[in-house]
Amino acid sequence: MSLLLQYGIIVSVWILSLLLILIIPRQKRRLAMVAFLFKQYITCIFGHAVVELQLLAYPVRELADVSRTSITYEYMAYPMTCAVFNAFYPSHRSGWFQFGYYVLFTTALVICEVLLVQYTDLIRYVRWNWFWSWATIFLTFLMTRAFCVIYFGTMIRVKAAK
Amino acid sequence: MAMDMERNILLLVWFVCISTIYFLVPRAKAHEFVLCFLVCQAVGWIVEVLLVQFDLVAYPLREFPRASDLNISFKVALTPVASGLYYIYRPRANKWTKCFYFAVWISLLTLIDGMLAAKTELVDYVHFHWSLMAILYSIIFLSVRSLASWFFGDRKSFQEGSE
Repeated sequence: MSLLLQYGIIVSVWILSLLLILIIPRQKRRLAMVAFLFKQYITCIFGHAVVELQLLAYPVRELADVSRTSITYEYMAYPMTCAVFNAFYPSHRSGWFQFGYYVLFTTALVICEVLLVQYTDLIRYVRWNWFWSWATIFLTFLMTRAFCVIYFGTMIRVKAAK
Repeated sequence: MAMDMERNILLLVWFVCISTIYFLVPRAKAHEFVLCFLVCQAVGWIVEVLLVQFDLVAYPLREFPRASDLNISFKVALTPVASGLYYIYRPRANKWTKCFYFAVWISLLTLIDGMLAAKTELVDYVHFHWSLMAILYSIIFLSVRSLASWFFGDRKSFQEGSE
């Protein structure tokens, strides 16, 4: 695939991610913000570690001199997906429904990633496969969800105690 | 031999940051601290990427040399902890106290950064001056404070935003 087209993909991912802000409901903005920032923090460390260990490579990337990691994915696209994930989380539904919600988001992200591996140079698996992606994405979604539940859960208790 | 000192400093940064969080952040303020911490790493990431991209600052000795040219410890530990402490202990008295308090924090961070640039391989000012660093720290701190004020400002919308 031509280089120009791949840069086009990067730019459109940024635009799409920024547009996702608009679909987050007004009263869920704080929840989405905490989820976004916490996910960004995790992916910053994990993302650097996997590139350092040469498990993954991003041959075509923005700001190629600064970083061998994908800033678009780690800084914007993935955290924003997680913000949307948390904003629409079906917390009042059954456990199986919630599990399905995790699987849906994880699978959607992994399908995008596998397509990018197949058809572009944006990401390349060195010593990695799609299942590892699936498992780490699932676990980081779980971590972020747990963090948000604890963060907002204890906040209300602190306020009630005052 | 010289490299050992830098690695020790990085370890010291993590040690100081983690023990500061444990001992100096009261339970009642933990939420404010965490939010400032996370906002600061997000803003600091952009700042650091731009600094390195435009060849203003370099980080010759870093944690993930193959993965990126950025220093991770300063971005995910030192500055976020400093901004969190700044936010939770900020005085509410009069304007001058607030200004002085802000200036003290900025000077402290600029001093640390300047010393590291002068004495060690951790930071290298390529086309840069410490006064610009002070301005950048001010921008980071002010954006952290305004976002945190927005976040904790409207108490009523909080209940809806939670579970």
